[in-house]
Amino acid sequence: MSRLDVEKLTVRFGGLTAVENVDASVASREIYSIIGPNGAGKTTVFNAITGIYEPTTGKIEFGGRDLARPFTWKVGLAAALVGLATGIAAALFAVNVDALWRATIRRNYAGPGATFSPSAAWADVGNYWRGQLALEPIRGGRWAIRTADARRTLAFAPNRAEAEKLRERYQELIAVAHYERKPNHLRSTTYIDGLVLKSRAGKVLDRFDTEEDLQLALARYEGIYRESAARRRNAWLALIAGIIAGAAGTLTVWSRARRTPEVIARAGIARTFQNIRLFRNMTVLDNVLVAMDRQLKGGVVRMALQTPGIRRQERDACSSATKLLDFVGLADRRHVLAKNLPYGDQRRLEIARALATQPQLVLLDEPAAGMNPAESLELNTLIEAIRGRGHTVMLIEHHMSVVMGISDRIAVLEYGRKIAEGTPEAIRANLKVIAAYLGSEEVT
Amino acid sequence: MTPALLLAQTADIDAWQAFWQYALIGLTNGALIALVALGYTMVYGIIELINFAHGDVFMLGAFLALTLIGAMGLEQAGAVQLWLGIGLLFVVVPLFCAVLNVTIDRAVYKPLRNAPKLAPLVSAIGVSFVLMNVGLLWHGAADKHFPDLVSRQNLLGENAAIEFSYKDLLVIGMTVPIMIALTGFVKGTRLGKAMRATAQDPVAATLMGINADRVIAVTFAIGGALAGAASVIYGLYINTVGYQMGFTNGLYAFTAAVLGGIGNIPGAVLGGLVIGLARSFGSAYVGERWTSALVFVILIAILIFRPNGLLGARTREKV
Repeated sequence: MSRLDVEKLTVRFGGLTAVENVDASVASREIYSIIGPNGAGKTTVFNAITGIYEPTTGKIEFGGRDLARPFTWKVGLAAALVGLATGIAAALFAVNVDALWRATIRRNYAGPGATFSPSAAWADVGNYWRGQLALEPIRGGRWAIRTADARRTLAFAPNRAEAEKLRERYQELIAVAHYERKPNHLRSTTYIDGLVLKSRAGKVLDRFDTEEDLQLALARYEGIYRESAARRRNAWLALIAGIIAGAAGTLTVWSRARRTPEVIARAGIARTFQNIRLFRNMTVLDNVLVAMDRQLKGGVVRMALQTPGIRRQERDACSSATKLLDFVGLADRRHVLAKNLPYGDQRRLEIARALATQPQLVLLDEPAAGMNPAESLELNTLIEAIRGRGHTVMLIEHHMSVVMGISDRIAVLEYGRKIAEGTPEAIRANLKVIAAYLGSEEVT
Repeated sequence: MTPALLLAQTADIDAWQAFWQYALIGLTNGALIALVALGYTMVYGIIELINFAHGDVFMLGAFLALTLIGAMGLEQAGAVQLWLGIGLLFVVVPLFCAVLNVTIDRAVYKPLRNAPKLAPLVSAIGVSFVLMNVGLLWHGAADKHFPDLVSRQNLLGENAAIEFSYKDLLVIGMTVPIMIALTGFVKGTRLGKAMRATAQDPVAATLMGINADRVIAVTFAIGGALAGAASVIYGLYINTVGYQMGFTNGLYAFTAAVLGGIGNIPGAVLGGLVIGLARSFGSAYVGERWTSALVFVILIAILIFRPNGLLGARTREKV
């Protein structure tokens, strides 16, 4: 059964194609090497497998499944919340946030005798929503009757009581106008008596000199009604559009970041780096312990309290880390800072750190770089031993002694394309490979 | 005439006693600055972001404490209720600040994680303005009196030459254990290891299965909680809060973090103490109005000789 399946992997950076249509299938407990000239895209393949790069096209399956962050209720909840927040923000802009602020906060704070209270402000939110006319204190103790968004002033009054009465009257006029201006509506006698506008109760609201004036006034009041109705409609539309846009945007961003290195590492792929990336200012032991982090349990609080369970766990982690260091031959240097290790030891520490994540598949990126022949021979034994522990190994290497000595199968990349795959013997005899390494004039 | 000189003349105490008094005041103030500085330095250490909003989180913490004290009626409470209430403040306010700080990170900084470093920095300044205006709306523009809940009684005796009151004890007794616990946490626990690993190489850390986002969130939470605790201590000690306190104290705390080597936890503590002492001695022996200048002269002088701060690692560019 194959451990890792790479199908038609292509990675492009802008116009540059780093890897094109590469297929690879690595069997369980196999040592699979990728070789090729510099710049052939070998490390790019590793980066795509470990989630550092998103493949432009192609599929990477690990143990038969796609390594993506699962969709959980938390993601759904987050999308819903972001959607709601976006929707509310959009609705606030649709109802004109400045006017709303003026209607609910500023009017309650400013002016003579104004007292702010949350309940009054909340009531004013309702008034604003319904398009109720507002009263605003102005200079000289007088009051103005204005539309809810304060864009139009209808009348002035000398005092508050008078203003309340006037507001009542205008409110009724608006209601009458809305009723009378319905399309295909016959002029009612309830509200219009000749040139006089009346309330349902029969109170005179306004008188006019000509029919034209009356119609103009009705149109004006109807305009106020329509404005507030339009505001409500726009707010609903903005709310719904905002919720959809916010939730969809969140899900899009989330789905683009599903193949993150951390998820892939937790699924069981570990790697080392061509240019060593140890935690340089931490000790050898701590470097390995960091990689074991995901296997340990317990939240922040229990960690802070250092409960017995946590302590036992950390002791166990320490002893298994030491065992791992022993395996790569660094146990006696475990308290040295990583940056003070000699080069070859740093490479071996990186391997120990990768193994500490308990991976099924280990990717080694040029582990023999900078090693002398004796050291690289030791490395061969180490890689064999890693396979012996049940890991599958994928290897990028230039040292032919390493590659030819231990690989089960070898893939050769050139200019981002796979030009050959097979056993070491087959690769050694492959004309295309020889051409790639030595130039094609040599073999004709 | 500076208050310190006044004190020296009227109380008829010798110069050395005055010196120790100033040292004590300096250390107390310095410990407070250090607590805020830790928030700056931890966040910088992990994502190389100077979180300018940190000072304002501190300010909002103090405002919440003020509101809570009013709501619980602590000013009229008896001794037992008083201490329970203060204990509650030290739970609720840090929690509030931690949640606020994590929310800011999630909403503002996280989407910019892979953007150039300048983008989150400028956003941080924006967040700072937003929070400052929230503070302005909450408690108004004028400075407010923070109830004087802790006694000023001198613990060394009524007529002792050096004054060490319950207030000083509160500051030292809260800040020192918090800082020791934090250092232990970062050094000793595996989350601390994950933090250091993420700080040194975020890519390698995620490839080892560390959830970098969660580690960053925890860092923000701890920084926020420290700011929250500091804000309660500040209120109880200084007794004046205002919406601009986040800016001024944040500036000193940030200076402390830079002075000690930004990103370095013991460095932030050391930097805070240095600045506290500089301010105290500066106002005593140089003059009140020169203290800020003195602090920054010290900062410049130290940065000339140790560009990475007092405890910052020396990095030499490899060529």
